[in-house]
Amino acid sequence: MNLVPTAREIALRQRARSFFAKAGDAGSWQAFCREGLLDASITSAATPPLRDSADLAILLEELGRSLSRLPLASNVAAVITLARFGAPAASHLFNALAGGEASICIAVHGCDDAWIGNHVGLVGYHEAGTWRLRGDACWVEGFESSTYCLVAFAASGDEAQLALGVVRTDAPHIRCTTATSADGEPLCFLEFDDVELPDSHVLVSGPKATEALRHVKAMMAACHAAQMVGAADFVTETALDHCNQRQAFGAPLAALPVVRQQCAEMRIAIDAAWLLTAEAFWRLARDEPFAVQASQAKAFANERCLMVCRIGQQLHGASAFMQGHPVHSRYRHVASLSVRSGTAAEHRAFVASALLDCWRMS
Amino acid sequence: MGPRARRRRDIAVASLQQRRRMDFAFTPAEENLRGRVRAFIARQHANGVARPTTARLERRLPQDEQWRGIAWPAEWGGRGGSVTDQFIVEEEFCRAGYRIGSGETAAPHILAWGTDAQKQMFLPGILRGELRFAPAFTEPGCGTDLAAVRLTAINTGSAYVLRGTKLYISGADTATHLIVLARSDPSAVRHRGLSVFLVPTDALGIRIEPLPTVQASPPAPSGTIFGESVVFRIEFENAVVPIEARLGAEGEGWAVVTSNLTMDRVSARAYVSYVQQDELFVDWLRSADGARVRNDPVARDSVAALWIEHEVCRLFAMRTLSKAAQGESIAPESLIENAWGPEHAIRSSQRIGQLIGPGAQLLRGSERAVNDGVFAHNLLSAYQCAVHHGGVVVMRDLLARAIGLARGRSRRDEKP
Repeated sequence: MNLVPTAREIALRQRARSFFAKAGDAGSWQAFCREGLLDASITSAATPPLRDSADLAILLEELGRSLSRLPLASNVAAVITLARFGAPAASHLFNALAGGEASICIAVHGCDDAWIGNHVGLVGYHEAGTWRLRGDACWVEGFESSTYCLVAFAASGDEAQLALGVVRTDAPHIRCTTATSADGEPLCFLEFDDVELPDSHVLVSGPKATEALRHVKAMMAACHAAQMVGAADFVTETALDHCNQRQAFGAPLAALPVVRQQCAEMRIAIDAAWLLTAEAFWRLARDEPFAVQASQAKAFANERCLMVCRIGQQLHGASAFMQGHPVHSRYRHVASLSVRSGTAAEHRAFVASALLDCWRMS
Repeated sequence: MGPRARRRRDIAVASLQQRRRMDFAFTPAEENLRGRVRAFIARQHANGVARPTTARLERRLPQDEQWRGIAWPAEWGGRGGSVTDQFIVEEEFCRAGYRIGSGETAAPHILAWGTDAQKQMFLPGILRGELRFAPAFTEPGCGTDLAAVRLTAINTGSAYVLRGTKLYISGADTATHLIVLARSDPSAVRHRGLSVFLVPTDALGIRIEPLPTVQASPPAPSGTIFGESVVFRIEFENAVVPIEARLGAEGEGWAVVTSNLTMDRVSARAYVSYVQQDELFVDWLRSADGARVRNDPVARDSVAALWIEHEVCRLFAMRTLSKAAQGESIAPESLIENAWGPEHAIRSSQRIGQLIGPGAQLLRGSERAVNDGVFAHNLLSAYQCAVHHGGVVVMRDLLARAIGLARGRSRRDEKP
């Protein structure tokens, strides 16, 4: 057992931080892969595709800290799900994604807004040797900048017969309506009107597809939790610096007992959210069930990271409400992430189910 | 570099070489140890040892000597185990309602600060379970702020004369010795001029008076957080102790006592006290009695929130243990653990009470009491949670300092 980051993990964090600082918003997926940052985490298309570590959590935390729009979460969620569940034919896609030549977005969220569960908004009909997809996929991040889109659909309209496939984002008959989220990230609502999906692009079907869908959803939840931790950690560090420097009532803000209590509360919340998240990724990397841990991390981070950002804003005062202030930007980012990939209530319902209903199976 | 510092450095270097990644699992050997401890406790029960029914702290299992001194140096009877092994043993004993080596609180700092004569005098008795220590730090005017200690220890040249009062001391009735923090230089202020003494409880001039706690009547059932029914007020009325009773150098008491507190905070006992009621509650929910609450969607949300906090307690404890096992300083990790844990226990006791409903108020022995009243007694314990291991508010203030916030106090208060 070791819950303390090692020298290697600290070095990885530094490398990722430097990359994101240099790359800024425009950091490309290809550049990220070329930098070799994924090499420490992802092995190959073989199962398990992750090395036995929490490295991925570190990379995602740094992503959240930097506010970069790099599609790391969706790409790794797709890559690892493909490697674990995908047909052998999917290995070329794995290589394209892991090699930085392509990127992918995740479109598995139905428009009923429920994250937990198997409901999907797309229906697939098999006609003339190919699948045709109809329906909606909502809350899709990074659609317009991705090469591919991972979709889940109910085969022949039967939700008990799920399948996962990959369509090109420039495929005909996909209509994308873009909305702007609180953090400024474009979110897409997709309408599929007889979008063609060749059999070879169906990655997993049958009973394993339900498991794969849960896997990709749990991964997205864990990824977003890690990103929130990173953003909130940045806010905490910034707030500590501010409190040490800012003079109020004849002394640094840091001298006020209530400020000290608030700063400690921020640190406690961040450390808790980080450990919950890192454990989820650690289990994922060992190919162990991790959905409960991912839900624990997401439920906790949804509320506590937002709390941390709110305290950070309060400690900074009015300046943090100004457009573009680094604390306010993180607050907006966390606020958005906290309602994507499952609300706290949804994830807690899943945790409760594991604790109270399914425990005999564990 | 002294031998202790060298040993710490060697442990740290060795562990850095071994550690390549974060790892959330105990090793197979550690899991095996846990299994052996559980089997030992079960065997004792099978052999007729009664299971604990009250939350008395100083209860021992017969023949538990083999589980004492797990991580001590071999030269003093240690069994070659690691800090993690010791934690596991202690955790399992605590969960079953026993203390393993009540002398453990004293042994780490006797090992660290004691003379050879003191080690020979105390350590074998602690290992055999014959010597039990009660830390006597708190006073009427000082709790978490131990630097405000006023009990004096005047050096007469051949002995020390102790005068003053210690308050809210746990386990003093069954302890053979007290670990007393005293002001050996009354002209010094705050952290300076303090010394630590190992004082027999039957020394002349010591008067021990029981103070009933909120758990006094009826006595709290096993599994209650801080279920002691009585703590003690100890008067030192010119109690004379030999010079040899001093642990560490004169005036070095602050270092001695804070190293003790640090070691104490790696202990599993605090961790178990933070989480055990959650586990008892989940067991109850899974039983037929818990069906109403188990099937209520609002209650389920609350239970999951409670459980996630429980997981945080576990992870914080494991992280502190990881650092201790690597020979590294455990600040600020232990401060985080001990600020979070007690407040979780308070929230948890309140949440459990609200979920169970009227039955949650019934104390041990009452008809219809839930789980022998443990949740009702935990509602009472919530009073103590936030002060038992040092005030949580103070923990947060210390944490603020540890994470880099400038201090706001006057220069006079600066730690030497």
